Amino acid sequence: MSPRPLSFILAAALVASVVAAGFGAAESRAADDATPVGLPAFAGVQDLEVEALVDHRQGVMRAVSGHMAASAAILLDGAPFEDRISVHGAALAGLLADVPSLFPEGSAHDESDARPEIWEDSGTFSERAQDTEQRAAAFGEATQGGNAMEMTQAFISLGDSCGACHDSFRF
Amino acid sequence: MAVGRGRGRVVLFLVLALLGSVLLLAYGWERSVAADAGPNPSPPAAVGDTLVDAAELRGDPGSEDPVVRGAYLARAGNCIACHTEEEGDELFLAGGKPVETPFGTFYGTNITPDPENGIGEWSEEDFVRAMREGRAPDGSHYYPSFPYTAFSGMSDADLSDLFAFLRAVPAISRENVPHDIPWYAGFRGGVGFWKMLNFEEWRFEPDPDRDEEWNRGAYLARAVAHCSECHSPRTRSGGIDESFRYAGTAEGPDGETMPNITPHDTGIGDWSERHFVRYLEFGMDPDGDFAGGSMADVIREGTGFLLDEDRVAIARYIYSLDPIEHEFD
Repeated sequence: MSPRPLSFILAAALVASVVAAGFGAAESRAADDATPVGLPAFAGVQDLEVEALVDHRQGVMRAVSGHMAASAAILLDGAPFEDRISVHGAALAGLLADVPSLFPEGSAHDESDARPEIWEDSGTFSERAQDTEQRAAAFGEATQGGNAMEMTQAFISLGDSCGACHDSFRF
Repeated sequence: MAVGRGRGRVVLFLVLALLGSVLLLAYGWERSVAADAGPNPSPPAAVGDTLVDAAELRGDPGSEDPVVRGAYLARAGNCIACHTEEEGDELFLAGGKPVETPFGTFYGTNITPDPENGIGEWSEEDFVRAMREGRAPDGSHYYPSFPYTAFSGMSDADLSDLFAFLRAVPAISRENVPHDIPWYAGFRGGVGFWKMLNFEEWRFEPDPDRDEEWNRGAYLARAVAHCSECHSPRTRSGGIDESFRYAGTAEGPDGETMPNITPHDTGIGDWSERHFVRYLEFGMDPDGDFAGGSMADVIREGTGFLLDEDRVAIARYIYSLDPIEHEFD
């Protein structure tokens, strides 16, 4: 067998790679069809936006729970950081100032625990969210004053509102 | 071949369905109440002194009043979460909350003193038989969605107090919603068979080798709060899988995942008892997260009302369980 010219080999390699790429794309599209919100291989711009929204709100929620855990340690278990409780109070009031904005229409996602009821029953959702906003603001204010009893009550009341919302709107 | 088998299945189904309906007719469908029974609060019946604030009553195990002691037990036993459809006082313990299980959807019944729809006509003996043997006053069996498997272990004194409380709550004449279950489960003789396999009457006996706190926790967790009814996988016949009691299940009531609550790393082994007590008090886990789902109801309507010393006792007992490795999605 005579050796093939180099140009023939290069052309064949090009054809092969185009075919392979086409096949790969078709395959990934098929996979996307099967799970419309499943990502990551060839995510469209919109998918990336949703991902970013989900990353952001999950980050905010983790921050909220971190401040809640720290506040509990101070207020309920006597960790000696009373002088810093107002930091947590202000952070919670700020992070929870507008909960519905964290859940824009169309931000449901496979990786998210948000229930569709958030958008289907947005009336109840905003009611609960408002409840949380007000209680977070009240806790923030209480931590400025430094009265232990008031702070603890405001803290527990805020926690109740977290659970009430998760009960109906989180998987 | 496939067609033949399909036709065979249809014929078999029809035969079974026919047989089932004949059996049901013969047996008598006990609970033929209207499916769309709406709430219909009535003025409290005249049964002793009616508690106006029953839904707010915190209860106290040390009270001299049996009604107040009973209210505490109703909290500890989480009666409210299953027997009250909505929050608020109007329909307190008047039933109706659905619990979805692999065996059908069950509705908590009206346990107010309403004579027609509730338990107003019951004697204390009727109540004790329901709690201890899982039998209705007419002798028929209750479905084990009513966890008499646990309540059977309660003491005579506690059952008597609990009954006193239930006699004192406002009567509400709300009709019961029939359970939504497949026909083969709708036949209470089958429940008798289930009980033969999965139920034994028992009474809590304190372990003399353990201290009072542990025994109090064991009594509350096992006989009253019935934790393992939800936090255990079930066998095919619907009994608790004993080798995984308390080790959680991905297929709990309402399709919820019920976590492993044994002190193993796959359970709550990385929580301290203090975290556990706090969780029972107001639902915050060690990460500062707040649970939703059915445990939120248990906490809000039940364990949140208990004395701290009882939550501590329950924690003592739970943390003394054998750690069981059980991980699921």
